Amino acid sequence: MTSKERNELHNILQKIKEIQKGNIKQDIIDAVIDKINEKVDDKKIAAPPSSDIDQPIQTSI
Amino acid sequence: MATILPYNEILKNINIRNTPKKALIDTCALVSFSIDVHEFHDETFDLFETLIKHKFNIYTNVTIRSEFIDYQRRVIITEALTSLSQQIPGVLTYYELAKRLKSHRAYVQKRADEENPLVLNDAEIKQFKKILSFKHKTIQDVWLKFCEDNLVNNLQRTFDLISKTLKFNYLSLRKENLSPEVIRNVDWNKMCNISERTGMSVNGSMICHMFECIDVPFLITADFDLIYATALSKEPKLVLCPEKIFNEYKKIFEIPS
Repeated sequence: MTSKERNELHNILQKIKEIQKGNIKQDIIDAVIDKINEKVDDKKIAAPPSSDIDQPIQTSI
Repeated sequence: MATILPYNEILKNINIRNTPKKALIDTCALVSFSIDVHEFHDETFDLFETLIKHKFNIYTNVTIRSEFIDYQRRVIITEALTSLSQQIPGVLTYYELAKRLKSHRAYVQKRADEENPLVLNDAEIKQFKKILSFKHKTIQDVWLKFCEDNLVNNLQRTFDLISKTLKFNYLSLRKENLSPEVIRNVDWNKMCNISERTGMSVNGSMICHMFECIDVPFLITADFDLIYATALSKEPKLVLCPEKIFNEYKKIFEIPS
């Protein structure tokens, strides 16, 4: 295998990694923060126990 | 019965048996190449170098392509949600969205610490889809915008990148475009029978049966189920897998070293 072919294999992997990282845009972050804040305001009176918050998601993987 | 070998014995078999340089690559091998923290990544990378260097004809089919693309979908969504969760302040609320993002961030970290990176399954992705499907100002649906930013034009691209490098040959079963490598009828009942006999997934059984029906001597896989099923097959073919899986296979089938 030539160094050119090996570099090509590395380059392909880098391109795939870039895609896998995703691309979170500011408008999505803003939308999620607004939504959470809106709900925080709704729940100001009755805050939950923190133990309800910290449970990890159950997953089969 | 197929002969199971570790990846690094591929050249030995070409040289000794004069085996044609043709290999079917399974989804798991493609996935382990595409994820650089995957436990079999380095071995698979080396194998791909060998395949390119020795000008192998590499084959794939619709099942392998769709499985690979679906895995990339799960990886990209997991990574994008992780990135999103890292940019959300740690507010104390039991509102589902905040709770899930916070839990996601914690779980990604936990799995990374265990060197077993998280890839969300479909049920988990559906939960995020539900809580992110809301309208915000000019965004009609936040989840659809999330998909547009992260997935559109990218899923197929991940496969195309590997396909271009390894110069994939696509195995077609269409009558008008039947691949010359397909030398036996691919039979639905026989495929189902593999799944019934071994308990393997239907997709895995389709790949296993395809391998039985083509004139391609090598199967490259990192899927123990596929190794298990091909080992029980009557076809005298060669299946290459990572060293660790090869050792597991030897132990279960009581193969002497």
